[in-house]
Amino acid sequence: MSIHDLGYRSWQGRLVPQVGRFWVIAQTGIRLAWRNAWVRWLLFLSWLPSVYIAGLLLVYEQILEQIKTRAPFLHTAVPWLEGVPLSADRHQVWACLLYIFFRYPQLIVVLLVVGQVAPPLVARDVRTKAFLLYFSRPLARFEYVLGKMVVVWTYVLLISAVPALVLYAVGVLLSPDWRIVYSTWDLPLRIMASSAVLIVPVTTVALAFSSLTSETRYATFAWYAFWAVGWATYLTVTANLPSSASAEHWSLVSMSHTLATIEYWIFGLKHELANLFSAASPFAVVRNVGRAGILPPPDQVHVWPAVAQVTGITLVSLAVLFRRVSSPMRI
Amino acid sequence: MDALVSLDRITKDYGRLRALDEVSLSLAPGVTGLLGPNGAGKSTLIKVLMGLVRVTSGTGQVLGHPLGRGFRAIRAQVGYLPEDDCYLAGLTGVEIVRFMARLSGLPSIEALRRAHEILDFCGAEEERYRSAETYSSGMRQKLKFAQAIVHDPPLLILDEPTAGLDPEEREALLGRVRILAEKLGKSVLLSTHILPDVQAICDTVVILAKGRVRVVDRLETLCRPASPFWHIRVYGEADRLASRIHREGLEVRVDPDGSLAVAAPDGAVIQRVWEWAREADVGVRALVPARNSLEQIFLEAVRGASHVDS
Repeated sequence: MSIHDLGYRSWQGRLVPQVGRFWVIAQTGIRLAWRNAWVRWLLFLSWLPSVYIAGLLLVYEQILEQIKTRAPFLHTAVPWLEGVPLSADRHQVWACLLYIFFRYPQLIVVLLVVGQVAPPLVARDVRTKAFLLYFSRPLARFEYVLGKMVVVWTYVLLISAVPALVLYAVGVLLSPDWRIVYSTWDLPLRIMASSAVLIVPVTTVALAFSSLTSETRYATFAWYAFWAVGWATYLTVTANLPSSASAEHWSLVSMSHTLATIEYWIFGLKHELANLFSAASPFAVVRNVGRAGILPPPDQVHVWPAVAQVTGITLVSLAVLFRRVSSPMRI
Repeated sequence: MDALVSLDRITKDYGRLRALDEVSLSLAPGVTGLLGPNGAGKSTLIKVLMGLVRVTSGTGQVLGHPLGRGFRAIRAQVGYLPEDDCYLAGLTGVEIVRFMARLSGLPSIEALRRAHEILDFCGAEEERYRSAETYSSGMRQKLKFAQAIVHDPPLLILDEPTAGLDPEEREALLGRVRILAEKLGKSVLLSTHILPDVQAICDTVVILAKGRVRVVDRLETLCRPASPFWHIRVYGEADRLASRIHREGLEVRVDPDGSLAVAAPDGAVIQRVWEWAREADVGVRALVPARNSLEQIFLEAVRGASHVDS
């Protein structure tokens, strides 16, 4: 019971600009997703790999600085450093570690988080016929879709670009040599580009699945199946191939490998060093199954087919999403 | 006065099914009832007005804004209560109303204040803090009404607003619509097939059937006295009074409810009913001019028998 029921009163305030209306949807979606305990746990866990990578950067920088006195000790303490060319281009080492960060732990966490956040976003509105409420407001389909996308983008950024940028910043701050900034200034831009490559297709595919059903669990299943089937197919067909270059041609059957190809190109890696770090990292367990992550030389990385494929999947997903969002109104 | 809604030969096809067939309509401010049997095209017409579906042909305006291109301006000034059972999952009642207010452009804090104010007006109490998924159909209807008026629109489009409500809630909701219309000058388009709802609050009636407008008129005109008929309700045996009146050469019939319908072109003649009743030894409970019933008009319109307006 209200303390003082004023009845109905006219409202004559000032409206907020139309341009920010999608943010209302985004904000509400972010808040609803945050109520999911799994999402909170995954967000927490997703930052742990960045601590590990930050440790590697720190060790590497310390070695470079005090190579004469500390290197033997460090090589003993961190066995994989035996193979690292300490005189290598610092930019390459940093880029390589960031690539590995994106390629293995963060991709897996992104898949898990998106699998929790995205499926209910549209499926729930299909189930409850909420489109009729949304579109009774001055809201275009584009704004609705953008609002839903921002929800996923926010969470993916929180576990990809943000920790990577923090990682970079920590690496710079902990480096004994301030000139590292000059040699790695472009890495934040590469991190942003790599995040964009990850975020855009992942979001559209996840929301397209979400829009195809009114049952969140079906959308979740389709999401994981999409990645798992691609990955398994790639591992199966490349198991007995003679070279990494041959395997690279098959990367298009797996979305995760296609994205990896583009990220590899974005970070501008030299394959020898990348393979060394990749093989030495704890995530090599995943990589070594069926030669999944052996990196071919840059001149054999065919990035444009991968870009075309990711663009195609993104556009098809967007078309599905827009069509499904308007379909409830047609009846 | 400018027309609230103005439609010119609007046609809407869903594949091979024609839902609206060259609908031309001009509605003045006030409360308008949109009547029609199931499948008449009422909901499609509303979706056309809201810009939710594109018309196949024809043009129109709502509150001076063109259909299609002006969808943002139209939706900003229209409060829409959909017929379907729809809500936003995961949110409480007050959160939903606040969310809808924000989508209409109210600032965040103001939207919350306004949501509570409107829920008070709608009679929603502590249940506003519960998730909408746990609501009864009546409460959801209340919630849909609250979100429709939270941004203070000048035009309300209510699609079956009393569906699923118990008599008390139905009366309360119609009372709120009446307050909005009479005291605050809101215009209302009420789509329903519940005729008493229309009779309770509407000034104008539009009857749709098979996608075409069959009747557009003021309710008081439609329900005008069906001259020269009079209705007489009596205590005692109606047949005896009927016989007495018949002897005077007047046309009379006894309706199933026991009342008499008398054709009396001359008003003076009907004054003698009191005398005839005394002679027939029956008491007169009521003597009123007969009116066309809305139900009768509705049925005739649906059959295409009368009042064809298009």
